[in-house]
Amino acid sequence: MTDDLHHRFPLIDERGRRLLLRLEEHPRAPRYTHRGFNRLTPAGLRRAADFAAALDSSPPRWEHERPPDWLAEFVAHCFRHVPLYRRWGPPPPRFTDLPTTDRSDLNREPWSFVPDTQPLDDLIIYNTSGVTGHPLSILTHPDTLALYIPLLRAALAARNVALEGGPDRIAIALVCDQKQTYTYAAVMPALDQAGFVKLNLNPAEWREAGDRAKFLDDLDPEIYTGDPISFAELARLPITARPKALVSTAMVLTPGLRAQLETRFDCPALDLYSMNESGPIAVAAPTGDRWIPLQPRLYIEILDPDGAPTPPGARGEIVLSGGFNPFLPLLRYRTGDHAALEIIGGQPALIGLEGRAPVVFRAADGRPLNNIDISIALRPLAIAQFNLHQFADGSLRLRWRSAGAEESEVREALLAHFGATQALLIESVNAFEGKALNYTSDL
Amino acid sequence: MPAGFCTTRALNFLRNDLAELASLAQAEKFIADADRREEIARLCFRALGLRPAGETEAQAQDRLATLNSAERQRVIRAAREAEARASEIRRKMAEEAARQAEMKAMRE
Repeated sequence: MTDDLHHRFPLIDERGRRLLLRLEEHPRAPRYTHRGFNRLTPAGLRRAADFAAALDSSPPRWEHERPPDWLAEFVAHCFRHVPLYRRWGPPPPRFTDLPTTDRSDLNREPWSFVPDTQPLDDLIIYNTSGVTGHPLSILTHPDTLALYIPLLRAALAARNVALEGGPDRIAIALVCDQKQTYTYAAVMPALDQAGFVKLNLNPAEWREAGDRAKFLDDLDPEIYTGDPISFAELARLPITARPKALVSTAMVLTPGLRAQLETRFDCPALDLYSMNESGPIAVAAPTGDRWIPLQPRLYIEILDPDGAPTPPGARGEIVLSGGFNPFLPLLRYRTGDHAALEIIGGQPALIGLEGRAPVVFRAADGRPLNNIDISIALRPLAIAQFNLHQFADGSLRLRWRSAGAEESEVREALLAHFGATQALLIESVNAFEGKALNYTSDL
Repeated sequence: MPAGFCTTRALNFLRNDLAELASLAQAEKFIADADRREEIARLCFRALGLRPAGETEAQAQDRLATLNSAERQRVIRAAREAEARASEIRRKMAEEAARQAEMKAMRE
């Protein structure tokens, strides 16, 4: 094996090398933009196993106004070692008196989140596009990235799907459908040398558009991960292989599209609530109305616009503390996403999760309409992506990409809420720039 | 000592001297840390034109200067260390960005 290969994959073995060669030199492979790497260390491999055990033995549990036991120690660690938090002075007596942080802090100075005690060897950075105008550089490590696997396994286990991995097999295909994105092939020691590909379904990235389905059928990955837009495109390809599951992240997966995907691929489609800053946070229950937290050491609060904790069951902004990335210990990190938190017998669940800030629309007769109502109205419809905008004069414009829904169905669903006299322009678009906000308003 | 004179000095101490002190160390330290406790007591004495019983003017000044400069040095050192650490992380980030660009070599 070459030095270069060992540098990219320190834990690769002969079976992994063969698989990587197959993925990189496959006659129907896309033109990968990057060479893959996975610099997991032996210690990281052990840590991933310990983390998997902790997911089983100590799932996230707490009660309202009674945070989990590990939190006090975590706060003390942050105030001792993390430059950003140290600047706040001594910790206040009550956790709820701590200031909150948000994306702008991380955008401004990602290095201030790194504890002084954290070694900087083998640092990885990934840059995320800014949905809210704040692009981020996330600092992480190969050993930290390996922890996504046990979290993904835990989310899949909730739907009785086992992600097995193993040599000579493709475990995960991450599909995107974008103008431009990083693509590469890799093998994962955390899944016993199984293959991983990140692909862009944009035909321009392939030698021939028809190669996409042929390549994916030949790979026959155990699971696909991606966002609703990519999955809508994936469903259109003449793929015959059947994955064990689809795991959707990044944007809301409408129940309509979920049902369509489940029928198309004859497997469960999971909606995973995940952020680059924290990794996977919660997985939607099969009923689709509640999200179950996954991480043993990620404390979730719901705060009102003034930063005060909401009463049990009341909606507010999701705020995170803890996490598993040692380069990014989160203390009261405002996500910009909204939900209510219900705790039954110590087990927390997010109810009515909505990405981004809520928007209040105005119906034709002047009634206020919450965007949640609109989400509920659009739920049964197979929509890949949309933005609903209300102009200052009250007129609406829906820009959308269908995943099978008809324009007439969408119009009917919206007018049922806004009123038959509502001015509504519907524009079908082929692509949104980045991740479109679902709801915007000039009112 | 006239009462008005002492009041003016005391107000000046509370308004100005303490504000400067607050920028150097956290308020709790002036209670919990013996050196800082002594420092604030001596600063207060000096502001009011007093000195601890049994000390000469020179001794009192000397002791205050020692306490004062030790804390300033500590603050400066901590700030320097924090900046060095931030620079080191930024340097590592730049190196990693360059390495990632290199991984693109296959395509371009």
